[in-house]
Amino acid sequence: MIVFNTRSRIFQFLVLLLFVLSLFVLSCNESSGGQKEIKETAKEKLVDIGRRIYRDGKLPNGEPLAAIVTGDVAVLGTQFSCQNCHGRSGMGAAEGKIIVPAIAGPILYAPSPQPKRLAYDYKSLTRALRDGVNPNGRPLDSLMPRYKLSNDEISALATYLKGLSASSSPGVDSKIIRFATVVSEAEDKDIRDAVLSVLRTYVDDKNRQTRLEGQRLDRGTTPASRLPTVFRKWVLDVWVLKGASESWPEQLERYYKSAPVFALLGGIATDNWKLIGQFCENHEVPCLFPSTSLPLAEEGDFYSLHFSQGLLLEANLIASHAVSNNFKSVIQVYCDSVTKPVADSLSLQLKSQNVTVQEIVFDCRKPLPVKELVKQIDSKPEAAVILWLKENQFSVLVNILAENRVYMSSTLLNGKSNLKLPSLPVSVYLAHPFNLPDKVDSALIRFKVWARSRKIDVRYPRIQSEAFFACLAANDAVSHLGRFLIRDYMLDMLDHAQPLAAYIPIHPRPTIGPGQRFLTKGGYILTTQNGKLTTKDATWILP
Amino acid sequence: MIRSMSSWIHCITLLILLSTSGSLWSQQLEDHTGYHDHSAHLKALSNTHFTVSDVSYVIPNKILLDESGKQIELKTLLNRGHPVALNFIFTTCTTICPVMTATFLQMRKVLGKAGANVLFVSISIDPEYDRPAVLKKYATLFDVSEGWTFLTGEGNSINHVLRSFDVYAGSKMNHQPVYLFKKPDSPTWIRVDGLAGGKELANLVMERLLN
Repeated sequence: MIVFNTRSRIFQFLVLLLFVLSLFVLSCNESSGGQKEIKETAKEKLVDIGRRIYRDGKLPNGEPLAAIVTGDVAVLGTQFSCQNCHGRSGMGAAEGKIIVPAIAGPILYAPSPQPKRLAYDYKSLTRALRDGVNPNGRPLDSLMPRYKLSNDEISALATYLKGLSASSSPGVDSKIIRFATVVSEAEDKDIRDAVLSVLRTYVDDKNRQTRLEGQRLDRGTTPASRLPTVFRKWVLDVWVLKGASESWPEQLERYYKSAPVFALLGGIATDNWKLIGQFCENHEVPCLFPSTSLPLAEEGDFYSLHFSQGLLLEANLIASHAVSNNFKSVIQVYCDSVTKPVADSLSLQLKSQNVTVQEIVFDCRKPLPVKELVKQIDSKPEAAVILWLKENQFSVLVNILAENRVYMSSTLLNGKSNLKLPSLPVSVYLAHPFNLPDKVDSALIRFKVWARSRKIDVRYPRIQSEAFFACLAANDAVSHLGRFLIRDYMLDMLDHAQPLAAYIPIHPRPTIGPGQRFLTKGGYILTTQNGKLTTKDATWILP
Repeated sequence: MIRSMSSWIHCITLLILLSTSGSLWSQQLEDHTGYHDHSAHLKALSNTHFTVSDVSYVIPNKILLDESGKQIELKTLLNRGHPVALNFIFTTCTTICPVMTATFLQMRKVLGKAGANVLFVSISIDPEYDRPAVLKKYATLFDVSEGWTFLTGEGNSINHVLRSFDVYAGSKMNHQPVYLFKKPDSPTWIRVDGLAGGKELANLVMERLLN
């Protein structure tokens, strides 16, 4: 019996040994193609699940995460996702007295010197998420939700966090950080040059001022001073887009492939930013404050920051004003593909308020059909008339229009060149989502002083000062990133940079906040008095 | 030769890791096969900090907009003869606002029938972004039913209101958690500074507002 037992044990041992050996062989062969691939896709799947939990607060089955905060308050992941507090980059944030710590992989899985904490691992992360205890056994703030998560879900989240902000974004190496500005060749060369002079001077200035800072760090003997330098030389590429806008995406891809950039600074494409905005979303490149009258961003777009919605904001202002002035019908005049989305948006809004909308569309390249227009307008004396027309088109109509029912666009009348109000001999309502011309624009003055001392000719104050702010915002954000040159972190920083709003020129009452992508949300409707536009009765409208 | 040596070392390390992590893993599975009841834990760790004070405010006579775009006179709303629970939020706030909204919800749940006539009011401190439609979406996200009004308005009016209730922080990113409660026909407000739990607020409301 005893002998048999021993034999069976030896047998068991042999089987175990064989099993272990086979595992051993398997693990040594893991570099063989097929297995690696399977492992990779499995990991990608895990990362996808983790990302969904992190960003949207949703479990793999689509249900929101459930959690408890401040002792007994039940919250759902959709109301309160990880990203909500810790940011898309996982680099944390501060609001009021509350500091939300960074939880991106390189920080979470390393010991923290200040405040002192051990490195997280799977086990301690599980405890933190479920019970709110950190690896040192200290309770987390009551504001950190205690989540109901299964082991698999925690594994997915842990894997996602491991890769989150774990390496620098494209466009950065140990010496430089690369930016580009996109300019459409359809813009006047003089305007393009004016904008580029601002951007190039800013970047040049910035490099001169910081060129020795990189050397400063290498001289120390402490471990901290041996960290890779945080200073990078800024490089600015200029991406000129040629020809029809349909070919822009391909051109952008080509530029990006030859030299990827960290972010786009400013830029000018007055009539259509949509395709450039899509490029930014596709490559997850921050696009900071371009000069355009039509951003046309999609809902949920993350990577482009705009001063305002441009012409769409004007359409919203007109809709609000027309409805509150009890217009029951509206005639809308436009002539090209640029103003079509604007006119469409306006008529949709008006129709939802039971206002009837009639549209007169003509070909921009041909002269204005004055006779037909006048006939239509005269046939409806009660209707508001909305003219999406530029100054040269409008002048033909000047003497024919009736009073107090014509709406016009400040952007289209003014063009990009000046800040003065156009002279309008008849009485109109002007949608004006810009600072009032007789009010002091301190951000604009600051830009002009900067430009003057650098011998920059300010021929186009609006777009030149916009370009200046784009640089200022990028510089502010990058200087906060330190060693973590991560694009999402840059946008997270900008989301919390409310004080920057005071430096925004031209655009009134801008506010900055997480997820807010258009900083100026409202505008004015100006009226004319004695053949002159006046700001006296300017009313601020938030559509 | 060196490369093959290192790959062997790599394999052996893996082998050791495999055998140890296997046992660790099963330990974890044992620990977490089901959800444990963490209530004791939560109780010990919830450590909510808040202060309660009695203050009197002059309710400003401002006209604000509710989530459906209707004009609301704040003074009339807050003096409608209901007990009032008031807080200040903004919809893109990343830390305390969703918690403050959820806390009111939890408090209402705890109060149950007793709190049926409490009027909940949340005033946005980011009126330029939080237009009525945005507030409506926010209310839907939190599944807020009847008896809860979300307010926005003109920037200056909102700032005036914030100053009147001594919660103006200069920038919305600087804003502090405050809950205010008022008995009907009483000028005195009960002010809670800090993030209290739902039950803690419910107890306070039961004791001071609904007795």
